[in-house]
Amino acid sequence: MIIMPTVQAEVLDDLEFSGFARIVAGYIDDEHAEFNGYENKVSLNQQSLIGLQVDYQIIDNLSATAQVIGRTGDDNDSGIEWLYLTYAPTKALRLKLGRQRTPVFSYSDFSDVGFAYNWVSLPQQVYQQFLFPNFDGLHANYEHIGENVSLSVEAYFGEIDRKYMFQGDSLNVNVDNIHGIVSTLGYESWTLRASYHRGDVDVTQQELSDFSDILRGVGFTQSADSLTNVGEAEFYQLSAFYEDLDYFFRSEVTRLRTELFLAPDSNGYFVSGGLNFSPFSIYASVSRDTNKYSASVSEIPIGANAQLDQLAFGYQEIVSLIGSNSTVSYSIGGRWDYRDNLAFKAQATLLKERDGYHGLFTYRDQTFDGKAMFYQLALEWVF
Amino acid sequence: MKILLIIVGFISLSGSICFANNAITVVANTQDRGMLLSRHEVRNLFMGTRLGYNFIAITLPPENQTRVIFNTKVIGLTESRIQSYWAQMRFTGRKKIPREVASEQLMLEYLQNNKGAVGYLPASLTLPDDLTVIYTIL
Repeated sequence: MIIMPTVQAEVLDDLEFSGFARIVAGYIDDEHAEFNGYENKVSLNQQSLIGLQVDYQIIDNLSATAQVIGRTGDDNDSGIEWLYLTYAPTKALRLKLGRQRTPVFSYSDFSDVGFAYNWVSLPQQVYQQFLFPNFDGLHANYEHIGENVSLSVEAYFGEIDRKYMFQGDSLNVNVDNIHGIVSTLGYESWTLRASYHRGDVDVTQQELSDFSDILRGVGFTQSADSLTNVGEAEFYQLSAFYEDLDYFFRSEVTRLRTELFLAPDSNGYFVSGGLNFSPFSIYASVSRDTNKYSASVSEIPIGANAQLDQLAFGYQEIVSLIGSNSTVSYSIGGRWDYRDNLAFKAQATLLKERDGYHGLFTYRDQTFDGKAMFYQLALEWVF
Repeated sequence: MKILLIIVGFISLSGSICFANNAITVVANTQDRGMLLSRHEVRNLFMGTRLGYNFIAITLPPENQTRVIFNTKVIGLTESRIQSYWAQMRFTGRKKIPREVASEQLMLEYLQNNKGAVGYLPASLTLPDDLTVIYTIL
């Protein structure tokens, strides 16, 4: 019997290099506001990135993986995204130990791999809640395939100790005891996913902690406590996806509860549907959220003396930067799979603050009406 | 009349060839000659899930016509979506893309030479005795 040399070469190949890249151009059709670094001129350097991965099969059921990502954008967090060992003691069970992406929502562990989904940008109202992209720890996945139904259960625990950039600010994030459980059910063309995640969070934003320490030092404990970024965070997620040769439907509902000043309690969802006519697909999506920040306190007397006035003013200034809000976005878009590993995408989104305080736009002038069209083009490549 | 019969015979013959050409069998190198899988199990096997058996899925290249038919009838996804899925699986370390062989002939050879190997082939292809059909879709 003949075995082709190519097949033998593949068998012998224990070391694999692969990667992904995306070039994303975006433009806000409104000169009065900015959104996620995009403004009223075309920008290529907000979401464009390149990722490189190396996998090494150590022995039959043990492998090592490293993935680094180089990013553009204001919140540039380039570096090691994944660095882990995979051990598969049985066919149904797989364990991963090391640095990994947190599988909070359906797309959160591969949000950088644009080739793997249809949107140019994942629905903002759900995926902005995603606070902690990576953890260091253990992830276990058990899968059962029945005759007609498949079930996967994932559980993980670990910790996060990392510096992140968020809207231009440097944040030291420390999460002890982050853990979660994810169950996924597959039936015919449906995939249903439900998950729960929690962690004990300690976020340090230097100016904010310094100010909070001053307040505490002079006895305004309630004011200091109201600016705390130490506490519990909990995420809940439910999603239902349907996909066949002609149609697809995806919906996800998320809920975040935190005790942190910087992170609001959020509820979000998206609903998206589309048509496949390979190699093209088109879709329409709606995504909505409500964000509720913890209430500020009025503890510092005003008018007593200049120093107290300064403290009271400082406190009001800080709490004025945040506020409860509700936002919505409507998107239409398309994707063209030009090659098996190369796709082009386009998306037009109406971003709208529904009511309440600033919800979406990072900069605005006085005349801004709280809504703007956002246009994006992307090239997605895997190699 | 004879000509008409020949024409009818030719049409029905070409029809049956066409029919046979679109039928797919999933073939395994296994000792268990009576084994049969469901469509759900076959789909999951080729989407990277390891079933409770010692099976390893082998596929044909994306442009291959047998693969196109298999995608349509068994996987139920377009090739574009399948490629997206593998990008997701690879870069999240979840599942491994099946090994690919270049043609049906090489598939047959690979299956015969590797215990546990499972691949899909046109149902019209004559199989050697040592391989087992574990799933058929017309």
